Amino acid sequence: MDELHLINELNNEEKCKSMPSFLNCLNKYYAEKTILPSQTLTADLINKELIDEIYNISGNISVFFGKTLRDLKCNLIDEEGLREHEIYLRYNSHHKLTVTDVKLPHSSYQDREYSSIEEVTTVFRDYIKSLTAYFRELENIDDQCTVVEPIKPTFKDDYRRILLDGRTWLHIEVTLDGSARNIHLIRQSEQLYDKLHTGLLTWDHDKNIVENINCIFDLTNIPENQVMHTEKLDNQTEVPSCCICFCVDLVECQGLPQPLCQNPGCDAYYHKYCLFQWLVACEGGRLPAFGVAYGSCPTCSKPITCSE
Amino acid sequence: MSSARTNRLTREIKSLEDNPPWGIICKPVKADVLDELRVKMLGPKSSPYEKGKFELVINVPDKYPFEPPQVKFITSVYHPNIDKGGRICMNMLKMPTKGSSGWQPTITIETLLISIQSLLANPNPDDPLMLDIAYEYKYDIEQFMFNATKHTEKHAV
Repeated sequence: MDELHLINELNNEEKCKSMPSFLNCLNKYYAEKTILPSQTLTADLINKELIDEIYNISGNISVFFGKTLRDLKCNLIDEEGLREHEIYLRYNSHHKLTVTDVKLPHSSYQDREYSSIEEVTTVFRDYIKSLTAYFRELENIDDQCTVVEPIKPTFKDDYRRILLDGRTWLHIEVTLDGSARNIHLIRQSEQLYDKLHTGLLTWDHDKNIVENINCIFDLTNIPENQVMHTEKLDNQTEVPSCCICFCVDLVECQGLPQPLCQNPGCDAYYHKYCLFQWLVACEGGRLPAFGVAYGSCPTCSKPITCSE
Repeated sequence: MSSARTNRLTREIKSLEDNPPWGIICKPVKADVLDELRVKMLGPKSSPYEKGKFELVINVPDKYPFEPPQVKFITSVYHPNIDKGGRICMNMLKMPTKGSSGWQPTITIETLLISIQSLLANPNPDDPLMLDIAYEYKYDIEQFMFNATKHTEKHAV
């Protein structure tokens, strides 16, 4: 409040009309005033106990500071020694740490407060231990299949979209105990649809997800995909852009353009966002009931549907 | 303003500048505002408009490409589908309806301008804006050719 008062005073004074003279006044004020060196500051930023804890931390944990002293990153190596997990923490006040980001599926552990780094690591070490099967399945999928979505898959994303052929993707979700659920095709293909449905009946729970996928869609499909994948990496323009916005990445829309048209002769790719906007615009801007818009494909004019 | 619109417009205008179609120059009125474009279009060969140089203006709506751009002739044109105010009667410039095709978000400004250029050469007298000119085109093509050439010479050369 003192400063505010001073500033008001300075504003009123005749001699402070110009910027340099104003700064001079301000300087004088602070020169006369005795300021206790940052006593209050450090205690406010981070407490000593935490610093001591970080200093003494051991085992397979390492702690880093982020943009400010209050942002911490804690790297935790799991018991198998295979994976390193990053836990981003924020120091809010004495004995109050919260988790800001962690590349793990969302859990209640992320929403609570912790009193020390040790507490965080104990809780997360147990959580990570319980997820071993989950990690293994996702790693297998990322290693052996062509994952189109998420663009940069992490353990935070519990789903993968796998390229089966140039036009069809397989959506698969992995549960926390490492089994698969909600398996379906993105973009219909009758042949692959039949394969998937007979395949799901003979799903072998003793085998891992990738082995099961290989059984359903033939092993021969996979090397073919890898060839396609390397081609894709060689030639960045290979990723088809959206026929509506002419881009691949769009701020409004997560994910890449997809072949959303059911007509097998139509090879147009659209962002879900763009196609939905268009189908809604065709209806005079009225949002569709149940969130599914109907209309015709802007490229081949065959019927098409799109959910938001 | 959506980034879909800005991204797309930037690409379209660049491609029109780098690789313009025959007889079409399209540029933004102000370099950094992509809402209003000015077009210079040559009349198609072996048509009564062939010696003409036509000016058009394109207004890009906020909802583009989910709405068609508004295109108007500034130069006066003697044509069954173009009225005195320069308004153009063409399906592609309207939102699609149940029965008929119309604007599609996959259409570009370039294709739109080429279509307008070919509309000059191939009028559609069955969906006219100027009834008398359409009648003349249908029943007295020689007179129409004469009038259109004269009109072009007077206004567009």
